[in-house]
Amino acid sequence: MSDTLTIGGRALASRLFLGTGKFASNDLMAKAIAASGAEVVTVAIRRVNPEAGQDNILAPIPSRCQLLPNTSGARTAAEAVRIARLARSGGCGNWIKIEVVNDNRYLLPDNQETIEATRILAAEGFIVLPYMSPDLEAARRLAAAGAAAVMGAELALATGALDLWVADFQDIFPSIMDVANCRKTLVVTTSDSCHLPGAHHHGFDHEHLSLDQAERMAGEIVQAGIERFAIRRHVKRFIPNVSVEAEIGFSVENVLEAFGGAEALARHLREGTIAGLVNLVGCSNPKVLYEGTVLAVTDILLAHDVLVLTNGCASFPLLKLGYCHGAARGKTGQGLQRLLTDLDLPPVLHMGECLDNARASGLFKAVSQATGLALSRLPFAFASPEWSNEKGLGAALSFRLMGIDSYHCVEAAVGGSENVRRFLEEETRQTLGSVMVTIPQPEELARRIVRDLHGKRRTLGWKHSTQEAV
Amino acid sequence: MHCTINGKPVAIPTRMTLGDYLESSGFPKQGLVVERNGAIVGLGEWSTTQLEDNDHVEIITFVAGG
Repeated sequence: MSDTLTIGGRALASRLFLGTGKFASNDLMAKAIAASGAEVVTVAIRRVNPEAGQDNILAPIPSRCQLLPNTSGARTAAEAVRIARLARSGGCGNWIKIEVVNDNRYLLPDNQETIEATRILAAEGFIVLPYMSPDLEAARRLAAAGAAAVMGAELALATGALDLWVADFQDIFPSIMDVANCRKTLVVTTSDSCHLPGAHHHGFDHEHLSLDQAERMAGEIVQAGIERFAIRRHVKRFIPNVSVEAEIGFSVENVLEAFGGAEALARHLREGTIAGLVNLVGCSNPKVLYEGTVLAVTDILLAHDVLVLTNGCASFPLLKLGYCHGAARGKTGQGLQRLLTDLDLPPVLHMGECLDNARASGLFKAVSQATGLALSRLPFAFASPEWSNEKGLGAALSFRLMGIDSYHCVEAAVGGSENVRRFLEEETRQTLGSVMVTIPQPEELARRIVRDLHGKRRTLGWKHSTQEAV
Repeated sequence: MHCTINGKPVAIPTRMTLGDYLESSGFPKQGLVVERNGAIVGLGEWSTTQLEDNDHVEIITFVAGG
């Protein structure tokens, strides 16, 4: 059976398009092209620097391959057209991957310019492969929606272990049903504003007018799950044979009791045994190093004696890798390590699930009351390094409403409005006493958090003996 | 004579052709594409194309990437 992909009249037996970047040598690249059987090979175009000495990238690429140069660097349709023409005159053939990016902040293509360049080049006989999104904002939202914390849910579904999965309003993601159907898992939605095609819907009135029906509805949902068990009897399951120990579900009361009261916790902060408190939450997001970004930020915070609170998806990597267990106390400085050992606490306090941010704010409030100092003056921060959706923006804003700065590695999807961006990142300093800080590199973000916490400590005249320099 | 070559101002002391300039400035002999004042100059025209004052020249090549 013929299974070819035809683009621009050329039938391709291989669907692999091989990039030429990042190979250690041209020789290795040639071997990779040969071994992969790729028929389309990408190249880029750059100005020549005669002093740099450049290899001829085209020489090692076999003539059977279709070269696909790109217009990387183009900011307008006119520039893309110019680069495409240069590429063709350089003997690269008539295929062109159009990239028009004039937004260095997000590196997302400018659709209007891309369309214009496509129109011109196609008319000149180019085979145009545009890099574009149907709509900039829509694409961002799709990436966020399809990409985010979802993966946690999908991975759990993919194990085949679940008979029933109940989605709340924030779990309406594109591929949930595909994964659930593979394992015949029953998916139930309850919010009338959120349906999933193929899911069972048990509408619950979120104005609580049907509160008296809640128990009956819950019974029906659980019953359906039990019935699903019989249907799924022969479904393959893969439950990894791994277990981890973690202390989970701290409430405000638990934490205060462990420290001997809010005054005692405040004293440790004032004396510098604890440099600050950071509520580290948010989604996990493959746009950045998935879960690794949360870990990188946490490592640096702990090393600087910052006590970390967490909940929701950001807590998963921390739970999995032992941060919520006493054995992780070695990640902190010696002073905090001694204190946590005395109190038998882990260095990262897991405070519930995604909607339990109120526990962290409750703890912040207890310290504020114990010290008589406004929240905005205390060495507190909110970090959601990998956040990805509107809810994450809302959660961060809720902490900023308390005057607590929020820190992120993913930009908020507000690039369309300079006014909104400026409001979030600068102007809320006046109105709320806090701003949104976004730094893509997790290590740099964490160091910024530590610096800002120390800034607040200095203003209060609170010393911190170790790790002052960041 | 002053030209802009790959975005940088370059002083060229004597009148010369594009081909002379490329050779004297150490550009590789292969894999180049040259554009002068917005128009592509084919390989065969390099030795007959005189550089003029205020010319804008782009000299590009293919590199790994994509």
